[in-house]
Amino acid sequence: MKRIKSVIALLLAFIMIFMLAACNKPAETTETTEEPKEEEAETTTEEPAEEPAEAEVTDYRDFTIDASKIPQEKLDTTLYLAVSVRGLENPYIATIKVGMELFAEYLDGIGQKYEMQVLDSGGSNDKEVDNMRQFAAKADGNAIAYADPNENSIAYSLAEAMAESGGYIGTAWNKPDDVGPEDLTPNWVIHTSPDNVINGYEIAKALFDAQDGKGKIFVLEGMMGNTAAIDRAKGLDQALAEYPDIEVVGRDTANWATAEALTLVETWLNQNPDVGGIWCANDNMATGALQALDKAGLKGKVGVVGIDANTDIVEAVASGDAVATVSSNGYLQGGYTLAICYAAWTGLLDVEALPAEFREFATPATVITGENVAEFQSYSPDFDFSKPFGCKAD
Amino acid sequence: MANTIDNKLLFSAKNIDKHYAATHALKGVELDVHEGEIVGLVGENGAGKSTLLKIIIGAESPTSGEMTMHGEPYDPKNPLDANANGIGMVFQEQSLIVSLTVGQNLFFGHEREFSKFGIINWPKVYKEAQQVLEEVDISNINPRKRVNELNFATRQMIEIAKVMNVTRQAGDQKCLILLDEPTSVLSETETKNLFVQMRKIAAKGHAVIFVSHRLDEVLEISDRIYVYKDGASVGMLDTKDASEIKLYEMMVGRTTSSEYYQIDKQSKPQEEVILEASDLGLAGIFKHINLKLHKGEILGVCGVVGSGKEEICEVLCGDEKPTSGELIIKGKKVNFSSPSKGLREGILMIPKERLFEGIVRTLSVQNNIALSNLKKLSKFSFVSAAKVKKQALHWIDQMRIKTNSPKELMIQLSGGNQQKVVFSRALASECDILILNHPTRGVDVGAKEEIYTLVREIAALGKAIILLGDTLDECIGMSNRVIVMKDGLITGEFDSGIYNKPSQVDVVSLMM
Amino acid sequence: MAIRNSGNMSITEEFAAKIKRDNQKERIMKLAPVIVLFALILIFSIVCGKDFASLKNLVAVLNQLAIPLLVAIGLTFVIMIGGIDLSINGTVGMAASLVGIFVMNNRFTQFNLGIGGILIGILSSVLVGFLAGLIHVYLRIPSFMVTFAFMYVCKGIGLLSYSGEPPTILDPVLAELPKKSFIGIPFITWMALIVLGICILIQEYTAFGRYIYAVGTDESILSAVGVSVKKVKVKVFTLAGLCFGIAGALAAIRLGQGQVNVGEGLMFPAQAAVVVGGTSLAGGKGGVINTIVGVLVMRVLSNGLVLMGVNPYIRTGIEGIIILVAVALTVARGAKVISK
Repeated sequence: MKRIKSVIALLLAFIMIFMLAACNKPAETTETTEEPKEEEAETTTEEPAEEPAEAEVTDYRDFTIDASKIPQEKLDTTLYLAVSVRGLENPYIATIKVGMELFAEYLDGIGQKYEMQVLDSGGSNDKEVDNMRQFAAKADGNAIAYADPNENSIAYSLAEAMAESGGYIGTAWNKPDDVGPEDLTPNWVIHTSPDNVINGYEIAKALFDAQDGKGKIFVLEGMMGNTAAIDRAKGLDQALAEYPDIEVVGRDTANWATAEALTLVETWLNQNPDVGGIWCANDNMATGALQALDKAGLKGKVGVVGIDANTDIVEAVASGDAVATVSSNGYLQGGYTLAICYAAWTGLLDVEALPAEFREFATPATVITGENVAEFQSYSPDFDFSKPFGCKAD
Repeated sequence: MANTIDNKLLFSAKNIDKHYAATHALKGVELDVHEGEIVGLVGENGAGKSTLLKIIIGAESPTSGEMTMHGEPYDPKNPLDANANGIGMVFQEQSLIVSLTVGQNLFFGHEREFSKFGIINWPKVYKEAQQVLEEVDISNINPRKRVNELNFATRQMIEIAKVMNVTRQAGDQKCLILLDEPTSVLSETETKNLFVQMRKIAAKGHAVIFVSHRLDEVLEISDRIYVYKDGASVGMLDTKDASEIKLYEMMVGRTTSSEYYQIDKQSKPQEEVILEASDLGLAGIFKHINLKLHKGEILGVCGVVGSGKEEICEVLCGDEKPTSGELIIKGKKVNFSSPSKGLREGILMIPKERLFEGIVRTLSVQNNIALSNLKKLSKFSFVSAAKVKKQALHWIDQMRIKTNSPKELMIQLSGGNQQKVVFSRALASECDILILNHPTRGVDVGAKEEIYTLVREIAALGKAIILLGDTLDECIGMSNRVIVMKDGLITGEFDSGIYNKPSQVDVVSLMM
Repeated sequence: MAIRNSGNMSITEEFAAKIKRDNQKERIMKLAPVIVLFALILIFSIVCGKDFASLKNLVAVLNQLAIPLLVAIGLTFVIMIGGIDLSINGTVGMAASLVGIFVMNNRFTQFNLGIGGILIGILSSVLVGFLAGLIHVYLRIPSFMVTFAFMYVCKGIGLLSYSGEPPTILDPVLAELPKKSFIGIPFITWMALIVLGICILIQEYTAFGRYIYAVGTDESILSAVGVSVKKVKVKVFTLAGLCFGIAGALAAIRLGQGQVNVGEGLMFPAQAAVVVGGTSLAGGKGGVINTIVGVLVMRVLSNGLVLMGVNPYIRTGIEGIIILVAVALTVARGAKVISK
């Protein structure tokens, strides 16, 4: 009898959850009904007379922020800038922050009042969403943000947190396939990502070519279940299919971490001291792999590739200890995402009119090898934020 | 042995008083100990022996009174202080660190004496430990052995050796050793060895205070015996003048008037047996327990601490699993695995440590009453607040609980009223068998009377009660029948009808 | 009287027998970690053959042993007094970061303090241990709360110290150290073994070592002989901080980089190693030597599974299950105990 009661209670709870879920549905459908409107907006771009800048634009790549058209009251309003990231201990993520600072310099130039901050999630989904919610509430609509969702699943919640307060957000890297910026027009302005599959593929090719297309390799994958890790491995598998003489003799996850990579490679080297190359899904792990090779006296003899363009790996590429790494250009990601959101906030950019290929697109990544490493090392980021779509890859 | 009284006075306590919050634990206690003497302390549970020892060793301080040691005023602040004055004690609960070796335990806290640059010279420690062990004739134990590898009796001997070490360190000074129930876990031969050691100590001029429930042992080993009752010394005997009977008579109090326990209201038990234990046993604690409990009966269980009576209650209510025998309740063989199973069969224990086990201090009166029958007051797993309150009001009225509102917190109630709440909860759970473990402990006289009335009323309703009384008098006065336990066995059973209550001396003589 | 005596005898005997049984059980329990270790070694030797049972792999295991061992040793003392230290990830990371900054490196050239840089790293962790101990003891805040808070504090300090890209160690001596070995055992492992030796000395041959056991068993025993329980506890947390600090310094040297991330993922394996080794979470039982076995079990397990080439998706799960089994075998789960 009592058991039945508790079953009933459980059932009730479930029913409540379903009802809540159902409540959400209509909201979604109203959003999707907006889509046709967008198309309309697109086709009728000649009409609006107030926004001459936009009327002239046919390719958004040439879209320009004309500072003189920004209303003075906007310039005098304090705009809140943020980048929401996993934690600054990662050198790549630190470059995103620098990107924000570069963009802030641009704002100084045009006389925009602003405050900026870094939202550090420490790798926690809940914390990242909470941070964003608090940030958005504080800014009360006068906010723009770059967000690197900790996992796919929270991309929508992050954008929603911003949309509720009327601010503008651009996301990068992680997002489920079935949702996107168009679900939260105009506040979720863009979603961008370097192409992980291509990056994984490119470094694999660079590595295999350095090995003359044959020999044994170790593979250090990123954190399991992480989109970037999965996609980079996918790229590797594509390359492996093209190089039948490459044999994978050790494949495991080192969770993006240097120490774990060191331990794994150390162990594998005892099994296969004749290894020819090590494919790492990021540069932190490449650092560990190089350290293990150094200990075994194999540094420089075994090729190593990674992604992220950490300084030490770029140096290793220059000295020949590593074969390749990839720069995703965090400066560019952070800076330009904020610039596009800024254009939306000022009203210069009509998000609803923006075509789909300018809502979701890939940002450029550079494969750094011995040939172009010197060029990369002398690279200092210098962007023209007045042309915010300059960050589109193709 | 005989002339020790003529020896120099070593320790004396005069007019020691000790008050705890509500209780007057010691009332002007006197104690003299001479050099080379073994003094026995006897008395019922709660007579004040343990409190007195704690005061002597410095673990507690007296409310008033004076002590002297070696003729000097003696006022220890802690056991360490007591040791410095040549007083050491073997505690009832052992104080050995079981993961350390025997030698390490013997010299625990004295490591610096064996250290050079902070590094302990273990060979030296073990050499001395060997000597200490030899002195108590247990040299067959390797001092390098860890204590957890030793049996209980050996541990007890090491405990004693550790205390005797105080006498070694005292040098020429004479020492006083306190032994609180040291024989309760020892076999006969081990007890004999202990006595030999005690005599050896005494022969050197040191003195020993020996506390035991076993009167035969006290009579065998001590020179003089102090008898305590209700926190006061009731007499001192030279052992040669003492006998077990004499001691029993001194220990038990006068029988309280029959009105106090409302003996006239004692109801006659019904024929129906509600609980039956046959050959019940719990390894190492008790065995061969046979008893029958009838509806409407109050069964008193008497025995000293460690006689197994508390553990029987634990087994009966399902807190502990018996290792032998069987338990039959309402004609059905039961096998409890937890107290909640016991409760399902209608057995409920009201624990002794009311404050720790019985109530939730930060909950309200009504919620405390509802704790054991929440399910009956609930619909679809949601508790009905109205029902909880209604039930509380019913019991507050029925039990005459003094409280401003059913929502008052338990901590705001007096001890007696708290106890009544605990009773209410037990009755609300509609159990048929109630185990009352010292129900009147720590409540004032007025509240006691009300509790007695309640117990009588509950019994009259046909519920069966097992009672562990706070005093022997109470146990006999309240019960229809009394069983006596000693060392894990039932040693006697008395009818305790309205007109044929057994004498306390008869009962005590089977307890000790 | 006659009945009484015979009954008495048998019940005392029963009691003695019970104690004896408990003791026997405990003795078997004590051996369990060693049995688990040998079982793992045997299984991996059979399955992986030469890959596992080779001198080279042994050296690799020894190499990977150093840092987990140091961390677990520090933690052992804390657990022996019935406490817990959750600051590990932070303190180790902080020590490593500071070492990276204060020796010759590629980012902060102004701070080349050589050996002094290593000391700064270690001392920072010692200080944190000391503070955590003080706060735990004198403000009576549970150790897990205090140390948990310090984990964040230390991570913050570590992150802030080099803000951005971790410094790569360029000091020629330090950069060469990870490659150096003596009679086949890597230098870093030697350092860990020296610390281990000192800790065994502290545990077995000093009064402080005895007091650690006493605090975990029954604090009142200490007050009875006039030893300050508080002091012992603060000392234990400080000693743990020292172990974590050395671990951090060695981790930085081993990686050739001072990153805060080296602390990540150290704590729970260390916790597991201490428990698998047979040190009771309730305190008073076990010790550093037990922990060596525990750490070996953990290391051999992950080394063997990697060599077997188990799919990483399954590996984590298998590791968890084996740890659970090891803990179940080694932790005494008593019914109600009648005596200690």
